[in-house]
Formats: sequence, structure tokens, C-alpha cells
Amino acid sequence: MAKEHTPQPAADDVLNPKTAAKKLKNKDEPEELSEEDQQLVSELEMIIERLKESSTEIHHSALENLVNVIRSSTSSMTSVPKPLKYLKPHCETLAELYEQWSDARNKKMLASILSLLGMVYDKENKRESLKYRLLAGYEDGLISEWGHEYVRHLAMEIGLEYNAKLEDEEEEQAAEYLVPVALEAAAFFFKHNAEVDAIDLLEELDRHETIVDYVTKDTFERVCMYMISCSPLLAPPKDLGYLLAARTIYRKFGKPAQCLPLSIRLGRPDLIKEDWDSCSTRLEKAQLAFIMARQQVHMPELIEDGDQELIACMNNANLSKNYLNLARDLELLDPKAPEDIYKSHLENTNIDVTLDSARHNLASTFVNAFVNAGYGTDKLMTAEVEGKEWVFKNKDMGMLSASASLGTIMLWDVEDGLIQVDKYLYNSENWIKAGAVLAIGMLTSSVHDDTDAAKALLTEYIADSNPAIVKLAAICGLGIAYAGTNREDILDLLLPIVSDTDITIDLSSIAALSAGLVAIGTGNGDVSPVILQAMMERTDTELSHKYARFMALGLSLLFLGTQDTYDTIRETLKAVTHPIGKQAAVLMQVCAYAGTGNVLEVQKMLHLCAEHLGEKDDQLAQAFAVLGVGMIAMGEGVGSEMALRTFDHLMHYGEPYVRRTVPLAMALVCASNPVVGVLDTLNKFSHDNDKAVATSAIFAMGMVGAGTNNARLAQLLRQLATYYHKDADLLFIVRIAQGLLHMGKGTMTINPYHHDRSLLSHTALAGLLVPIVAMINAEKLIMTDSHFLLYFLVRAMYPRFLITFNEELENVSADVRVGQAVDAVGQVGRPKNITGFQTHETPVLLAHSERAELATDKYIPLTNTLEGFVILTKNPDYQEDEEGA
Amino acid sequence: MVKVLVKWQGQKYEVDTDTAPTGEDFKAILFSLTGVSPERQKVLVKGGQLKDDTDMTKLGLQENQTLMMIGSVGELPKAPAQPIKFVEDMSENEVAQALSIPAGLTNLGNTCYMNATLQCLKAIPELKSALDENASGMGQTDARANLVSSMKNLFKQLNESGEGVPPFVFLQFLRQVYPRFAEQDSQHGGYRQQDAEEFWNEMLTTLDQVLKKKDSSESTVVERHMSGRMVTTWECAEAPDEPPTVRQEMFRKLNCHIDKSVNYLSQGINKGLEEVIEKRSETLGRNADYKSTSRIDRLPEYLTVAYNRFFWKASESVDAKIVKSVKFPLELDATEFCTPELAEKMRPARQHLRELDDKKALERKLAKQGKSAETDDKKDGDVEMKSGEGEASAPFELNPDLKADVGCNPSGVYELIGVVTHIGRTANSGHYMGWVRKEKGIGGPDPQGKGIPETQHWWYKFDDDKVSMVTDDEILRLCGGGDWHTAYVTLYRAKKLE
Repeated sequence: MAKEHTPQPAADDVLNPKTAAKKLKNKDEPEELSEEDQQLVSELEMIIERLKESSTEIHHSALENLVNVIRSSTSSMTSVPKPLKYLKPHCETLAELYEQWSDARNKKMLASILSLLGMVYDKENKRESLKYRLLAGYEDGLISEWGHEYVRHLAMEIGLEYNAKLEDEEEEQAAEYLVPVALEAAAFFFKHNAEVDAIDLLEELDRHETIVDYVTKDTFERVCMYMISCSPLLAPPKDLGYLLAARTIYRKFGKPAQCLPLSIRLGRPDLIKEDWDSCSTRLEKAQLAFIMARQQVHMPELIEDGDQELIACMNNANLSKNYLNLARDLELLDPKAPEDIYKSHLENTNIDVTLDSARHNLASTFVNAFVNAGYGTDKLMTAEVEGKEWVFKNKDMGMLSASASLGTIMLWDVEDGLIQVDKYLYNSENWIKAGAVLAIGMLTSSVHDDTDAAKALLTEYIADSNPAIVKLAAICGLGIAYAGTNREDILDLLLPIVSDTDITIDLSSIAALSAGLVAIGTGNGDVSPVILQAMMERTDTELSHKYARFMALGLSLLFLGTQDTYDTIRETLKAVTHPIGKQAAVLMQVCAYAGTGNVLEVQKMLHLCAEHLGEKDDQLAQAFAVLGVGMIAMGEGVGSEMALRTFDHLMHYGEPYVRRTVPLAMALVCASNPVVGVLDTLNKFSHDNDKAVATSAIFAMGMVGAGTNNARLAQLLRQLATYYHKDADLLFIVRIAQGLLHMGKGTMTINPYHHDRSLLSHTALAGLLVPIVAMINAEKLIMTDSHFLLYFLVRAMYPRFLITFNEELENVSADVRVGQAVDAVGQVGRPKNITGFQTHETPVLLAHSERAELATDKYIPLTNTLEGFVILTKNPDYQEDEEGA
Repeated sequence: MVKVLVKWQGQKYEVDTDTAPTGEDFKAILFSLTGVSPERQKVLVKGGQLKDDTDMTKLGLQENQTLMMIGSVGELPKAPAQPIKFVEDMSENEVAQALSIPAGLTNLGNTCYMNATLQCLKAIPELKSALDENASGMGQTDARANLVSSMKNLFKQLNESGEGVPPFVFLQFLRQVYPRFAEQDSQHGGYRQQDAEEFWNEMLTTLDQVLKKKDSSESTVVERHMSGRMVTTWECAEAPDEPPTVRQEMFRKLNCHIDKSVNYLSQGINKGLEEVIEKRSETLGRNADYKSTSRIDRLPEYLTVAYNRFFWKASESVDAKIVKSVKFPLELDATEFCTPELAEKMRPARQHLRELDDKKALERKLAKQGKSAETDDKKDGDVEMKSGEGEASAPFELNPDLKADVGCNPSGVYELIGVVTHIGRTANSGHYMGWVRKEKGIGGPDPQGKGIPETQHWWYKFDDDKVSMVTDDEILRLCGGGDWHTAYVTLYRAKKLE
């Protein structure tokens, strides 16, 4: 009894200083109690007195009395219920009594009360509440006898206790006794709409596999959503475990179409097959095939009996057709000329060029290619003008880019595209021929066809007898066409070129890049040694060639998203004395953690960026580290926002090489997502004194707005065109940016994330990386003779549409609401997923961070992510009510 | 027997492989079906191409398997006969010539007054041809002759060059002939800024003197094309009996007098034509106020109008500038400044010009309507009829006197072709620029697609060696009234009669 009178404010109620202060006051002036309170205090004192007596019968009735008093007291959430408050002086007494008693029934009852008191007066983290709960028993709903708040507190103590036990005894069994009570608590949570608490508790105890047992049909969506969005925040390998657990839940309750994205994220073909086999209908399989085609997971072996329709879905064969349908619906079929994009009458410069400027025409070539991408018609290349072919209005490498631009214009249309390209294959100008060869690779990208046209045609041009430039184009073409397929026969064509030291380094480097693209993210053990070997055998002067970086990039792409599996390669790279070894090591680290949001890796990259290198040191590695900050963080919202803030610092204090890369890294984070803040920042940088910074900022503006037709950005770029009208180099980049902005007349995205920003397309990311890496030294690459590298963007380009199909896989129009996506993770009830929506009829365009949902119950979608191709089945319960009236 | 389908240009052709044992035969069949010659055929079979010697039976083709054929019929794209020349391959001179943007003059240290004026003078083709005719070269005893021939060379250089031309030689002779243009700044060193109008006058005087052929009564280009004749009547109000003195004098410029009441160029010119001067009257035997009224008797083809924008401010001993806005028209009718006789003579030509203008306006209007209403036969008929009427009234009789007078303005209507502007607060400071109209159809095509109506003319803006292009609207903003460039000398040219 003496103890309670000694003031111990710290241990008492640290959490709430207000009540603590009040309590002290109460202690000092006990006479201030109201009559009612006085009565309560005396009642409690009487109960305690009776408990002190020796009769177990009296004990029982007293305890019941006490429970009643506690239960019947109502209290606000913020203050301690009165009976508990006045019980405080008797805590010790009760605890002592518990020790003295022997009657099991009474003991349990008392323990239960003590457990509750433990929650209110948790002294020195003794976790009394848990202790007495274990003593009082928790079965049969006993756990929740004191209500929800109590269970939450208990859950917290369980977590603490578990971790403490693990630390102390370093033995997992030691904490095993907590599991049953934890499971009981979790079950309670699941029953009472507190799935989040349950998941957190089970995660604390490493029991997330058991979640599936508690989930019901009504809760699984919320549970999975929470788990999936948690996974990037967890340390490996738990993150994958979470995904796996979520997938198990989906398998139990959901549709295969919800499992598949998780299987893809886990990178497990066996799970994908499992999902495929679990489809109950052919339509579901078709839906899976659509999702797989979008992510470029090509597994034709899954399809039984050569079902042509399913094969077409998986091959993405109708992409071009559907894209054109969308264009027809939006009345976008008329080709646009570059001047329609420049709108130079709105520019304030008065001199216009009536002469043929190779630079100007080259810019027009690219603008034309990007703007009319996928439409199959344009005003320069496909328009029939005898003797005035546009290709000849370009110079040298410009001719290559011009004939290659057919590849974007005819994108995804293998049949017609190849015929268009064919006539340039016979040209005596090697540039033009090379461009046509590259175009073959481009237009067959993202779609597969039975005849394997790209390989059939390109094999011929990769042979040694061809001029170097044609060979180079063929290598690029193969890389673009077969990116992500990991096909051995393609690698067999490429690898000999990588290892051949008799040919020039540019060919080998590009071959290494293409090989990296083909085997992207696989860590293919056949490819990496070949590239490493090539790096070691080449001389230092060769490795200093401007293309050598693509060798490093090719090597890194192999390990894209593989996290920590690249260690041996990294050790080997240390043997490369040339700076390219370091470059490759950094780039590989960046690629391996791309999109993971791994904070530690981001910090490592920032350390690299902060180094102040001397003039002589190689700075490319640092540039890669800057890209790394963006690339690692890009997967996750909070991380990418932090990355954008960090870039500000780098821009202020960084070395020139760091500064010029920052805009590019920003572009990577916000590809096709013109956020106003980022646009403002980039616009500021686009007037930088350092021309290289301005160059990359302008290009970044193009990337950030790619395919959006963003009016504000268009205005900014026009101003830049005026501002730089005398600087041919920068004007060229401004034009390219304008072309990117209006890509596909505003129907495309180059953001590598899709499926409600949950899936990272490796090939798309690689498609962005190639031009970006080239832009780091734009003055040597993009702005001189290697502008064709921009065409790697076709791997990232994809229509940002939603097209709906009926059960016969025919286009069908449905009402959908399109609005800004709302993060509803962890929210109770049925929160809205979108806000500020408008109702449209499919096909419809979705902007970045927009979501669609069906407006009526007329159809049931086979996937809950309405994006790309979605199959709708008729809702049998749907009644057309208002239409009749 | 195995039948395969061959896809080509969106169509499928059925081919029976039994009739084609080898690839070559197969292609021959395709040739007959599609017209694509066998050597341009590419038949794709599962990741490979069909070769001529391939045995078709060994391909393992299945019934109704689809093959793809690539190949095109007809002409392949050919390189243009004339290889395209790119800007990047040309020298700067070639580019400027191809673009027909005239070259600018480099500023050699406060010589913008000279550059601006020279660019405007260069806009007078008659002057240029006169210079070309003047055979005398440099190195003569008369410094003025040297100045003129250096001007000729300078103009020639300007026509050939694409970049700024430094007028070293010309400037040297100029300073030799007129030492006051060589005035140096005592405080800062270097040459001072000069008054452009003064230079304009001196230059014309020099040209007139030098180009005057010895022992020849033929008038010079300056006299013929750039000088008018004025009839000035002196009257004294105090001595009404005294007969008015009438004098004829030549003028090379009209002055635009600027005071509070002047808002438009014509008001200023009228003010300049009337003066009150105190002079000795013979009849009264004392000094009296004489009112002089000038009327123009002959209008030159090129009319210079100078704005009296500067006045001597004794307190600061500078030529201070009157900033007041004086609007000048792009088309100036000088009839009101002329003697009634001349006005009468010019009437038919003016009438003719007015009709021409009306006709053009009508045509434009109809063209616009025609565009909006596409092809409307009735309207087309109207156009023809009306334009026919216009032509009927076309023939007119030009006054024989004016016809005979080479270098005069027969109609009295002028259009603006050159402006020298000044920015700054005094004549000897600030910056001068020259603005010269670009004639339609001469010197390269007009900049296109800028949403500017065809009726607008383009102008070259000569800011020393920086030359750019602006439109009429920009020129009209040079009227003054602020701290922007303000017209100081304007050059008008007689409007062409056809």
C-alpha cells in the first residue's frame, strides 16, 4: 500500500500527461470528489474488502459485482473509465490476492480483471495485461470480454513480448506459447472489420501464411490489397512472402486474373501455369493471356489444342487492330504533320527555314514517327509522292532514322508494316537499308507472330557480309523485337558478335545490349560471362568508345529486378581495370533493385552521387548512380516523392555530370506523368547555363509528358523552341520533346508500370533506359549520329486505353467511370476507389494515376483492374430498369 | 497434297505445294498470283526464309498453314536526281543567299546611325544602279568620290555576304569627308554617336555631287528620283500691297514639324510647309513678319520625310528628343501638300490606283467567301462579271507631263518602304535601327504559315548585323510616344501604277 502513495509519474501514465497531471491533482486533493464518485469509491473499497475475506463464495459474488461495475461504466474514449481509475490504488492488493487464492474459477475471473487493469496501468512494460490474459484464458470469445480497444492493446503486447522473447532466448520455440492467443486475437479482429490489425499482428509473429485461414469472402479483397501494398515496405524475403500469401488468398476466393499479376511479380512461371490451369473457363484464360501479353510474358505452351483465339490473345496479335479502332472512335485517324505539332505560327520567331536543313528534317522525322506511331499512315513516309521520298531529305545517319521511322509508324502491324518496309531493303544507300532493317525489329516488337518474321528476315542482315551499319541495325532490331523472350536461338545469333574482338567495339556493345534485352531480368548464366569476357579482352581505348557503355547496360539488364543475385558478377567486374568496370557495377546494382524502393540501396547511390570527383575521374558511374536513385525509388509513391526532393539537393550541390543526369532521373520517375511540380522544375532547368543540363531537362520534359498532349507542357516547349531558335542542337531536342509529348496523338504512355501501377514491365523500363543512358552524353550520341537509339522507346510505348470485349471476344461498349485513383488501402468499409470521375463509353483513354470502374451492373469484368484489354461477361442478375421508362 | 495459304497485302492466296517441288517453283506460282517478281519475294516459314533450292516437301508444311510473303510490286524509291543540299553543308554566305535575307552591317563603335541609314538607302534600286554605272574606282583625289565608290563596294558586299559586313573603308572615307562624324568622346574615348538624319542629308548631297557627270546637263539620280520641287510664296500681312514673292526651290526631304497639336504625319508636314519668318521688308523699310506658304510642285518617286524630333536644349547642351507619338501611315497621299495644278494632273492616276485597290479588296473578299462556301456556281459567275467590269474601266490617261518626267510620282500616292528609328533621349546617344520593307516575290518567299494575312508586308529589321523579319504591325508601332524605337526618318516610294 505504501507504494501507491509514492509519486511515480513517469511510470504511471506517460502516454497522457494531461490525465497524469489530473491524477496528481486528484491525489493531492481527494476531498474534491463528487458525491457520486465518493459513492463509487466506497463501493469499490467495499468490494475489495470483501475480496480480502477468505470465503470463496463471497469472492465470487464480489468479483461479479466488480465486473458489473466496470462494465456498466460508460466513458469517453480519451479518459480512463472511473471504476478503473479508482481501482488503481488496489491493483497491488488484487495482484497479491491472486497469488493467495486457490479457487480456479475465481482466479480466472480475477486474472481477467487484472488483465484489463494491466492495460490501463502498464507498469515498466511488464506486459501485465498479456500475462493475466494468458492466466485467465482466452478461448471461447473470452479474449474480447473487455471490448475492441482491449484486444488491440493485447495484440500490441503480444507483438512486444514475441520480439522480446526472440531477442532474449534466440530460440523460436520460446515464443511459441504466444501463438494461440495471437491467433485468437487475429480471429477477433477479422470478425470485427479490423483486418489491418490482424495482419499486422500475424506479421509480427511471422505467421502471415495463416492469414488465409481467417479470411472470408467479404474480407479477402481488403486483406489482399493491404498485404500487397505493404510488401514493398518490408525487408526481403518477407515482401515476397506477403505477395505469396496474398496470392494464396486470391486463389482461395478470387479469380485467376487477380493471382496472375502476383505470380508475375514473383517471377515464377510455375505459379503462372498454376493460375492458368485454375481457370474455369476459356474466357478467363483469354483474360490471363491479355494480361500476360501486356507484361510480355510469352508462354504459348500453356495453350492446349492450338486454340487460335487464345494464341492470338497471348501473341497480342490484335493490338494494332484494336489501337486503330480506338483511334477511329476518337477520330484520330488523320495523319499529322510535324508542323501540326510545332505550331510554329504560335512561336514568336519570324525566320523560318525554307531550305532543307538536315537537322530540321531529322527532327521532323522523329516527330512524325512518334506522333503517328502505330497509325500506319503519316504525311512524310507513307504518303505516296514519287521522286520526293522523305528519306532522301535526310543525311547519312538521318536516312537510317528516316527509314527506321516506318517501324514506329507501322508499329505492331507485322503484315502491312513489313510490306511498307520492304521497298527500302533494296536501296543502294546503306543507311536507308539499315533503317529498314531496324524498322523490321521495331514493328514486330510487343507482338508475336507465327512466322517469326523478325528472325526470319534479320538473320540475313546480321551476317558478316553486310556493311557494318546494316549489321548494327540488324543487331538492334533483334534486341528490340525479342526483348524479354530469353530465346536461345536469338542469343546464339548475338553472343558470337559480343565476343568477337576482331570487329569494332560499337557492334559488340550493341550486341551486348541486345543480348541483355533478350535475356532481361533472367540473370542468364550463358550471357553474362560472354559480356564480361568481352569487357576484359577489349583494350582500354576501345572501352572508352562512346558505345561501350551499352555493354555495361546490356550486362546490367540481365539482372534487372533480381535484387541480390549479382554478387559473383560484381566481384568479377572488379578485375576490369577500365572505369567501365565501375560503371557496370553501379549500373548493375541500380538495375537489380529497380523499382523495389529499397531505401538502403538508394542511400548507397546517394553516397556515390555526393562524391566530388576530380577532372580525370570517370564520371559516368556517378551519372548512373543518379539514375539509380530514381530507378530504385520509382516503384512506390512515397519513395519516388522523396527521390524527387533529393534531386533538388543534387541539382544544387552536385558535379556537372550529376546535374545533367538529374532531369533524366526525374523523367524516369515520372514517365508519362506530367506532374505540375516536376514540369516547373524541369522548365527551370531547361534554361540552365550548362547546355548539357538544359538538353537533358528538355528531353526529360518530353518524357514526362510523353503521349499525354499536355497543353501546359506544349506551351512550355513552344516557348523553348522560341528561346532556342538559334541553337540548332537544343532546338533539335525541343522538337524531339514535342514529338514525344504528342506521341500517338496523345494516346500512349511510356510508363513502365501498368496494371494499376502494380506491375513493372522490364522491357518497357529497358526501352526507357537505352535513350536515357544515351542522353547522358547527348552531345556525343543523340545529337550527332546515334539518334536512332531513341527508337528503343518503342519497347516502352503502349496505348493507355481500356477496351472491353464480350464473351465472343468482340469489341463491346460499356459505360465506365474514369477518375483519379484513390488509395483505399487499409480503410474501413467500402471506400471509393476513384474520385472526380466522369462517365465514358469504352474504348476510353486512361491517364496516369487514373482508374476506371464499370458504371453499371450490366457486365461483370473478368479482372478487377480495368486497363488494357478486359473481357466482360453479362451479369445474369442485371435488370434494365430505367431504360424502358 | 498439302495446300498452304500465303498472306500478302492483307489477302490470302491458296497454293498447292504439290505443283511446286522446290522453293523456286513455289515463288514462280506466287509471281503468277501476285505479280511480285521472284527475286523480290521473301517467303517466311517459321523463323526462316524460303530458299530457291528448298525442297517443299521437307518443310513439314501442314494443311492450310499460313505463310507470309513480303515483297512489293512496282518502282522502288529512288534517290532524287538532284542530291538535296542541306543548310548544314553550306557556308554561312550560301545560306543567307539561299534564304535571301540581306546581310547586316557590323557596328564599328557607335556607327549604328550610319548602318541604319545605309540600309534604307540601299532599298532604292535606282540609286544602286546609278552607283553601279559610276565607273570611277577608289584612290581618287576627291575624297567624296572615294566615299561614293566605297559605298558601291559596300552595297555589293552586302548583296553577296550572308553575315554582317564591317563597313571599314566606307567609314574611313566618311570621316575623311566629314570630320564631324569623326567626333570623339572626350571623356570615354572612342567615336561618338551621330545624328542619322544629318548623315542622310550629307550622304545625298555627296551622292548628288559625285554622280553629276561633268559637262552633262543630265540630272543625277538624287535629283530625278529623290528630289521634289516646292513653290514657296512669301507674303507679309503688314504690307498687303507688297506683291507676294514666289520662289521655286528643290527639296530632298519634307519635314514633319512636331508640336502639341500634331498627332499625325500629315499635320506635321503641313506645319512644316507654313512658316513665319521675320525679315526686312523693302516696302516697309523695316523688319516685318512674313508668312511663307510652300506647296509642292513636283513629287519625287522617293520621298523622304524627316521628323523634327530633336531640339537644342541649351541648358543641357544636348539635342533633346520629343517623344510625342506621331502616327505615320503605310500609305501616304501627298496631294494635300501639292499645288492645285499638280493635284489636278495627278487625279487620273490616283483614281486608277483607287480602283485597283477596290478591285483587289473585292477579289480578296470573294476569295474568302468562295473558300467558306466551297464551290458555288452562282458566286463564281459573279466574280467573273465583276472582275470583268473592273478591267473595262482600267485604261486611263496618264498626264503627258508627268509621263515625261522620269522619277516623279504621277499619282501622289506613296507607300512606306524604309524607316530609320531611334531609341534613346538625345540624337547623339541611344541606338538607331533601319527597317526596310521586303517586296513580295523578291528575295525569297515570305515566311509561311504564321497566320498573318497576305495583305501584310514583311520587313527586314536591321539591328546592325542582326537581321530579322517583322510585319507591318510592328512597323506601325514605331510611331513614338514611349521609350521604344521611334521613327526618325521615313522613306516613302511612289505607289506603282499597275
